[in-house]
Amino acid sequence: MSFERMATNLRKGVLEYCVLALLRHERRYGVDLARRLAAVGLLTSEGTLYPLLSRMRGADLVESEWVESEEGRPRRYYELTEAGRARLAEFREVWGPLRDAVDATLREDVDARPRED
Amino acid sequence: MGRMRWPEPVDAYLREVRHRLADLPAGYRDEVVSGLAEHANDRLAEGDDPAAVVAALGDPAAVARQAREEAPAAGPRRPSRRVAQATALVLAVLAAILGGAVAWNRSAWPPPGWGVLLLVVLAPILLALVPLLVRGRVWRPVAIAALVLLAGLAVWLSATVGLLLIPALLAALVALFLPDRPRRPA
Repeated sequence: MSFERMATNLRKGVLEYCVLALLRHERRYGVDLARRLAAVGLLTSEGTLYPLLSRMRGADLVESEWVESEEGRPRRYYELTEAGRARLAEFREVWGPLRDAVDATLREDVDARPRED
Repeated sequence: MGRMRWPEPVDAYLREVRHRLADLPAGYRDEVVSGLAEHANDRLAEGDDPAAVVAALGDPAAVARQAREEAPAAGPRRPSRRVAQATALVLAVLAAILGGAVAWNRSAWPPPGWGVLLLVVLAPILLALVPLLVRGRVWRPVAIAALVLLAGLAVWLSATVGLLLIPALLAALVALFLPDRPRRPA
Protein backbone atom coordinates (compact mmCIF):
# COMPACT_ATOMS: atom_id res chain seq x y z
CA MET A 1 0.00 0.00 0.00
CA SER A 2 1.44 3.32 -1.04
CA PHE A 3 1.93 6.20 1.35
CA GLU A 4 -0.71 8.29 -0.43
CA ARG A 5 -3.26 5.49 -0.38
CA MET A 6 -2.69 4.87 3.31
CA ALA A 7 -3.17 8.56 4.08
CA THR A 8 -6.32 8.66 1.94
CA ASN A 9 -7.84 5.71 3.75
CA LEU A 10 -7.11 7.15 7.17
CA ARG A 11 -8.43 10.58 6.25
CA LYS A 12 -11.63 9.07 4.91
CA GLY A 13 -12.67 7.81 8.32
CA VAL A 14 -12.31 11.17 10.05
CA LEU A 15 -13.28 13.65 7.33
CA GLU A 16 -16.95 13.57 8.26
CA TYR A 17 -16.14 14.56 11.85
CA CYS A 18 -13.82 17.34 10.73
CA VAL A 19 -16.67 18.75 8.64
CA LEU A 20 -18.89 18.66 11.72
CA ALA A 21 -16.13 20.38 13.73
CA LEU A 22 -15.73 23.17 11.16
CA LEU A 23 -19.45 23.87 11.38
CA ARG A 24 -19.68 23.90 15.17
CA HIS A 25 -19.56 27.69 15.53
CA GLU A 26 -20.90 28.94 12.23
CA ARG A 27 -22.46 27.88 8.97
CA ARG A 28 -20.14 27.69 5.97
CA TYR A 29 -20.50 27.29 2.22
CA GLY A 30 -18.92 24.40 0.31
CA VAL A 31 -15.88 26.23 -1.06
CA ASP A 32 -15.07 27.57 2.41
CA LEU A 33 -15.24 24.05 3.88
CA ALA A 34 -13.16 22.62 1.02
CA ARG A 35 -10.49 25.31 1.41
CA ARG A 36 -10.14 24.85 5.13
CA LEU A 37 -9.95 21.06 4.87
CA ALA A 38 -7.48 21.22 1.98
CA ALA A 39 -5.31 23.76 3.82
CA VAL A 40 -4.65 21.31 6.67
CA GLY A 41 -4.21 18.36 4.31
CA LEU A 42 -7.46 16.60 5.18
CA LEU A 43 -8.89 16.85 1.67
CA THR A 44 -6.92 16.28 -1.52
CA SER A 45 -9.73 16.20 -4.11
CA GLU A 46 -12.17 18.99 -3.27
CA GLY A 47 -14.88 17.26 -5.31
CA THR A 48 -15.05 14.32 -2.90
CA LEU A 49 -16.49 16.65 -0.28
CA TYR A 50 -19.86 16.82 -2.06
CA PRO A 51 -20.88 13.15 -1.94
CA LEU A 52 -19.98 13.29 1.75
CA LEU A 53 -22.10 16.40 2.33
CA SER A 54 -25.00 14.75 0.49
CA ARG A 55 -24.87 11.75 2.78
CA MET A 56 -24.55 13.93 5.86
CA ARG A 57 -27.62 15.88 4.80
CA GLY A 58 -29.50 12.64 4.20
CA ALA A 59 -28.52 11.51 7.69
CA ASP A 60 -29.73 14.84 9.15
CA LEU A 61 -26.26 15.66 10.52
CA VAL A 62 -26.17 18.90 8.55
CA GLU A 63 -28.77 20.95 6.75
CA SER A 64 -28.28 23.48 4.01
CA GLU A 65 -29.85 26.75 3.12
CA TRP A 66 -29.42 29.27 0.30
CA VAL A 67 -28.17 32.55 1.68
CA GLU A 68 -27.46 35.78 -0.15
CA SER A 69 -23.70 36.44 0.05
CA GLU A 70 -22.05 39.82 0.46
CA GLU A 71 -21.55 40.04 -3.30
CA GLY A 72 -25.28 39.50 -3.76
CA ARG A 73 -25.00 35.98 -5.15
CA PRO A 74 -26.85 33.27 -3.28
CA ARG A 75 -24.73 30.44 -1.90
CA ARG A 76 -25.67 27.16 -0.26
CA TYR A 77 -24.58 27.26 3.37
CA TYR A 78 -24.26 24.15 5.48
CA GLU A 79 -24.94 24.08 9.20
CA LEU A 80 -25.05 21.57 12.01
CA THR A 81 -28.29 20.00 13.15
CA GLU A 82 -28.78 18.90 16.74
CA ALA A 83 -27.97 15.35 15.64
CA GLY A 84 -24.76 16.62 14.03
CA ARG A 85 -23.75 18.38 17.22
CA ALA A 86 -24.39 15.20 19.22
CA ARG A 87 -22.35 13.15 16.72
CA LEU A 88 -19.44 15.56 17.06
CA ALA A 89 -19.54 15.26 20.86
CA GLU A 90 -19.45 11.46 20.56
CA PHE A 91 -16.50 11.64 18.18
CA ARG A 92 -14.54 13.77 20.63
CA GLU A 93 -14.97 11.10 23.28
CA VAL A 94 -13.80 8.35 20.94
CA TRP A 95 -11.00 10.24 19.25
CA GLY A 96 -8.98 11.37 22.29
CA PRO A 97 -8.35 7.92 23.77
CA LEU A 98 -7.88 6.40 20.31
CA ARG A 99 -5.25 8.95 19.29
CA ASP A 100 -3.45 8.50 22.62
CA ALA A 101 -3.49 4.72 22.28
CA VAL A 102 -2.05 4.82 18.75
CA ASP A 103 0.58 7.38 19.74
CA ALA A 104 1.59 5.35 22.79
CA THR A 105 1.86 2.19 20.70
CA LEU A 106 4.00 3.92 18.08
CA ARG A 107 6.29 5.57 20.60
CA GLU A 108 9.76 4.14 20.64
CA ASP A 109 10.45 4.78 24.32
CA VAL A 110 9.99 2.22 27.09
CA ASP A 111 6.76 3.70 28.46
CA ALA A 112 4.57 1.76 26.08
CA ARG A 113 6.23 -1.57 26.80
CA PRO A 114 5.26 -3.75 29.73
CA ARG A 115 7.73 -3.11 32.52
CA GLU A 116 10.29 -5.82 33.19
CA ASP A 117 11.06 -6.17 36.90
CA MET B 1 -27.28 27.36 -10.15
CA GLY B 2 -28.43 30.08 -12.47
CA ARG B 3 -25.37 29.64 -14.69
CA MET B 4 -26.47 28.08 -17.94
CA ARG B 5 -23.13 28.01 -19.74
CA TRP B 6 -20.03 26.67 -18.08
CA PRO B 7 -16.48 27.15 -19.26
CA GLU B 8 -15.60 24.03 -21.24
CA PRO B 9 -13.34 22.32 -18.65
CA VAL B 10 -15.99 22.69 -15.93
CA ASP B 11 -18.77 21.55 -18.23
CA ALA B 12 -16.78 18.48 -19.30
CA TYR B 13 -15.98 17.66 -15.68
CA LEU B 14 -19.61 17.82 -14.55
CA ARG B 15 -20.70 15.74 -17.54
CA GLU B 16 -18.10 13.12 -16.79
CA VAL B 17 -19.12 12.78 -13.14
CA ARG B 18 -22.78 12.63 -14.13
CA HIS B 19 -21.99 9.96 -16.70
CA ARG B 20 -20.03 7.87 -14.19
CA LEU B 21 -22.96 8.00 -11.77
CA ALA B 22 -25.58 7.17 -14.42
CA ASP B 23 -26.78 4.07 -12.60
CA LEU B 24 -27.29 5.73 -9.20
CA PRO B 25 -30.67 7.14 -8.11
CA ALA B 26 -31.34 10.36 -10.03
CA GLY B 27 -32.09 12.41 -6.92
CA TYR B 28 -28.78 11.54 -5.30
CA ARG B 29 -26.82 12.00 -8.54
CA ASP B 30 -28.37 15.44 -9.08
CA GLU B 31 -27.54 16.42 -5.52
CA VAL B 32 -23.87 15.45 -5.88
CA VAL B 33 -23.49 17.09 -9.30
CA SER B 34 -25.22 20.28 -8.18
CA GLY B 35 -22.90 20.40 -5.17
CA LEU B 36 -19.95 20.27 -7.55
CA ALA B 37 -21.57 22.82 -9.87
CA GLU B 38 -22.22 25.25 -7.00
CA HIS B 39 -18.61 24.83 -5.89
CA ALA B 40 -17.32 25.57 -9.41
CA ASN B 41 -19.70 28.52 -9.70
CA ASP B 42 -18.44 30.05 -6.44
CA ARG B 43 -14.80 29.50 -7.35
CA LEU B 44 -15.27 31.04 -10.79
CA ALA B 45 -17.09 33.99 -9.24
CA GLU B 46 -14.12 34.46 -6.94
CA GLY B 47 -11.94 34.80 -10.00
CA ASP B 48 -10.39 31.35 -10.19
CA ASP B 49 -9.30 29.95 -13.52
CA PRO B 50 -11.61 27.17 -14.88
CA ALA B 51 -8.68 24.78 -15.33
CA ALA B 52 -7.56 25.39 -11.74
CA VAL B 53 -11.10 24.86 -10.46
CA VAL B 54 -11.29 21.50 -12.22
CA ALA B 55 -7.81 20.48 -11.06
CA ALA B 56 -8.70 21.24 -7.42
CA LEU B 57 -11.92 19.23 -7.68
CA GLY B 58 -9.73 16.20 -8.37
CA ASP B 59 -9.99 13.09 -10.50
CA PRO B 60 -13.65 12.62 -11.61
CA ALA B 61 -13.15 8.88 -11.09
CA ALA B 62 -12.23 9.51 -7.43
CA VAL B 63 -15.27 11.72 -6.95
CA ALA B 64 -17.50 9.08 -8.57
CA ARG B 65 -15.96 6.36 -6.38
CA GLN B 66 -16.60 8.43 -3.28
CA ALA B 67 -20.16 9.09 -4.44
CA ARG B 68 -20.75 5.33 -4.80
CA GLU B 69 -19.46 4.72 -1.30
CA GLU B 70 -21.67 7.43 0.15
CA ALA B 71 -24.76 6.56 -1.93
CA PRO B 72 -27.87 5.89 0.12
CA ALA B 73 -28.54 2.14 0.30
CA ALA B 74 -31.70 1.00 -1.43
CA GLY B 75 -34.38 -0.15 0.92
CA PRO B 76 -37.52 0.89 2.71
CA ARG B 77 -37.77 4.63 2.94
CA ARG B 78 -39.71 6.85 5.23
CA PRO B 79 -41.78 9.37 3.32
CA SER B 80 -40.35 12.84 3.49
CA ARG B 81 -42.03 15.68 5.31
CA ARG B 82 -42.96 17.23 1.97
CA VAL B 83 -45.26 14.28 1.29
CA ALA B 84 -46.94 14.73 4.67
CA GLN B 85 -47.25 18.49 4.07
CA ALA B 86 -48.74 17.98 0.62
CA THR B 87 -51.19 15.51 2.17
CA ALA B 88 -52.10 18.10 4.82
CA LEU B 89 -52.74 20.64 2.05
CA VAL B 90 -55.02 18.27 0.10
CA LEU B 91 -56.93 17.43 3.30
CA ALA B 92 -57.21 21.13 4.18
CA VAL B 93 -58.58 21.92 0.71
CA LEU B 94 -61.14 19.13 1.08
CA ALA B 95 -62.08 20.40 4.56
CA ALA B 96 -62.38 23.93 3.20
CA ILE B 97 -64.68 22.85 0.37
CA LEU B 98 -66.84 20.77 2.70
CA GLY B 99 -66.75 23.42 5.40
CA GLY B 100 -67.68 26.14 2.95
CA ALA B 101 -70.58 24.07 1.68
CA VAL B 102 -71.79 23.35 5.22
CA ALA B 103 -71.47 26.99 6.29
CA TRP B 104 -73.36 28.09 3.21
CA ASN B 105 -76.06 25.48 3.75
CA ARG B 106 -76.55 26.17 7.46
CA SER B 107 -77.27 29.80 7.19
CA ALA B 108 -79.48 29.22 4.19
CA TRP B 109 -80.55 32.84 4.21
CA PRO B 110 -78.94 35.32 4.46
CA PRO B 111 -75.78 33.73 3.01
CA PRO B 112 -72.72 33.74 5.31
CA GLY B 113 -70.62 36.86 5.21
CA TRP B 114 -67.21 37.13 3.58
CA GLY B 115 -65.59 36.91 7.01
CA VAL B 116 -67.01 33.45 7.59
CA LEU B 117 -65.99 32.21 4.16
CA LEU B 118 -62.53 33.63 4.65
CA LEU B 119 -62.20 31.85 7.97
CA VAL B 120 -63.69 28.53 6.91
CA VAL B 121 -62.34 28.28 3.37
CA LEU B 122 -59.27 30.44 2.89
CA ALA B 123 -57.59 30.22 6.30
CA PRO B 124 -57.16 26.41 6.42
CA ILE B 125 -55.78 26.34 2.88
CA LEU B 126 -53.30 29.11 3.56
CA LEU B 127 -52.19 27.60 6.87
CA ALA B 128 -51.52 24.26 5.16
CA LEU B 129 -49.85 25.90 2.16
CA VAL B 130 -47.38 28.19 3.93
CA PRO B 131 -45.17 25.44 5.50
CA LEU B 132 -44.92 23.85 2.06
CA LEU B 133 -43.46 27.05 0.60
CA VAL B 134 -40.82 27.62 3.27
CA ARG B 135 -37.48 25.80 3.48
CA GLY B 136 -34.36 25.84 5.59
CA ARG B 137 -34.05 27.03 9.16
CA VAL B 138 -37.29 28.94 9.30
CA TRP B 139 -39.30 25.89 8.30
CA ARG B 140 -39.80 24.46 11.77
CA PRO B 141 -40.98 27.66 13.53
CA VAL B 142 -43.25 28.48 10.58
CA ALA B 143 -44.68 24.95 10.47
CA ILE B 144 -45.32 24.96 14.22
CA ALA B 145 -46.96 28.39 14.10
CA ALA B 146 -49.19 27.32 11.20
CA LEU B 147 -50.11 24.12 13.04
CA VAL B 148 -51.03 26.02 16.20
CA LEU B 149 -53.15 28.50 14.23
CA LEU B 150 -54.85 25.66 12.35
CA ALA B 151 -55.55 23.87 15.65
CA GLY B 152 -56.90 27.12 17.10
CA LEU B 153 -59.17 27.50 14.08
CA ALA B 154 -60.41 23.93 14.49
CA VAL B 155 -61.21 24.54 18.18
CA TRP B 156 -62.85 27.87 17.46
CA LEU B 157 -65.05 26.34 14.77
CA SER B 158 -65.57 23.12 16.72
CA ALA B 159 -69.27 23.84 17.11
CA THR B 160 -69.70 23.68 13.34
CA VAL B 161 -67.03 22.63 10.83
CA GLY B 162 -63.92 22.49 13.02
CA LEU B 163 -63.88 18.69 13.11
CA LEU B 164 -63.34 18.61 9.35
CA LEU B 165 -59.86 20.04 9.92
CA ILE B 166 -58.67 17.15 12.08
CA PRO B 167 -57.24 15.01 9.22
CA ALA B 168 -55.25 17.98 7.90
CA LEU B 169 -54.06 18.74 11.44
CA LEU B 170 -52.82 15.18 11.89
CA ALA B 171 -50.92 15.23 8.59
CA ALA B 172 -49.31 18.58 9.47
CA LEU B 173 -48.35 17.19 12.88
CA VAL B 174 -46.77 14.09 11.34
CA ALA B 175 -44.74 16.30 8.98
CA LEU B 176 -42.98 17.86 11.97
CA PHE B 177 -41.41 14.49 12.80
CA LEU B 178 -40.25 13.47 9.33
CA PRO B 179 -36.90 14.25 7.71
CA ASP B 180 -36.92 16.82 4.90
CA ARG B 181 -35.88 14.24 2.35
CA PRO B 182 -36.61 10.53 2.02
CA ARG B 183 -34.13 8.36 3.86
CA ARG B 184 -33.86 4.94 5.34
CA PRO B 185 -35.09 4.52 8.89
CA ALA B 186 -32.16 5.00 11.29
